Amino acid sequence: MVEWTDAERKAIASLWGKIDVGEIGPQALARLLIVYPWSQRYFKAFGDLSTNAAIMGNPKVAQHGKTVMGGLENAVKNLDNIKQTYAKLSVMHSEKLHVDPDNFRVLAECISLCVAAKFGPSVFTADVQEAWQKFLAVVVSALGRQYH
Amino acid sequence: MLSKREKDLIKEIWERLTPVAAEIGADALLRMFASYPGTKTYFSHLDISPNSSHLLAHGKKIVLAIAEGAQDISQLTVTLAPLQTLHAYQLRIDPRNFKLLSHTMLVSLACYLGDEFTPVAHAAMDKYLSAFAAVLAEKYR
Repeated sequence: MVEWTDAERKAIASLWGKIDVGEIGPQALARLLIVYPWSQRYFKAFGDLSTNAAIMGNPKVAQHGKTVMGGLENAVKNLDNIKQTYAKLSVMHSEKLHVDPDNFRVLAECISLCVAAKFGPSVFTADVQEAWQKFLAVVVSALGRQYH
Repeated sequence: MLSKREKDLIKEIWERLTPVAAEIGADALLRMFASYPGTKTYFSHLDISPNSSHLLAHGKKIVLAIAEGAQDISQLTVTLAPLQTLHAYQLRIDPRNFKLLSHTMLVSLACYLGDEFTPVAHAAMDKYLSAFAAVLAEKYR
């Protein structure tokens, strides 16, 4: 079971309260597809991903980014039970979507960078970053847990 | 692979950051120590508390080396030769840590550049820092 300090819980809740999932989600997913183009292999049904502009303007990318980011709400609300909360999603990503779990880690990095760019160093301090990255790492781990 | 446009962008960004090399470098290091405590084991000989002169000096050294490499990326192996030897035979930092600092360096860049840290800049920087780390580790074995 993951142990969270009070400071970490506070930092995660506070940062989450500031995040607009409709803004950060699409940005993070677009960055994943641009910075790590091999991740596009999972999104053949999304239409035009041929240029950066196409990716950034693609409505399916935006919608999916929002969905994925919004999914973190469950984790924020269930900090002490993330593994269980994500069990079904983990099975789905493994059995149905066949996503290499390393992509979760890379997407988490993109999310952190979008948050950093949005909020700057006074909000996204080293300690807030630590708590946020620890949180994302737990989510990433939970998503990979049911793979076999 | 870095396109000419990406190389120019990388060079331009690091040139602009050279005056604040100490601040950016110290910020990236502090973030690394906070998120990846294992990295602190390499710094038992320095004072790495926030704003310490050691931290600022060390951060400056690292950023200036990265900026120097960015001046002519095609010559990275030549430019980094002395640092390659230093890291391989003396410092012997596990090269997996280079990825950690690369990540927190990107976070520092994102924080300071904000909107200017576009997806294109992000991709270019990530590729450059990966290449830098790979060259740095070349003499290890």
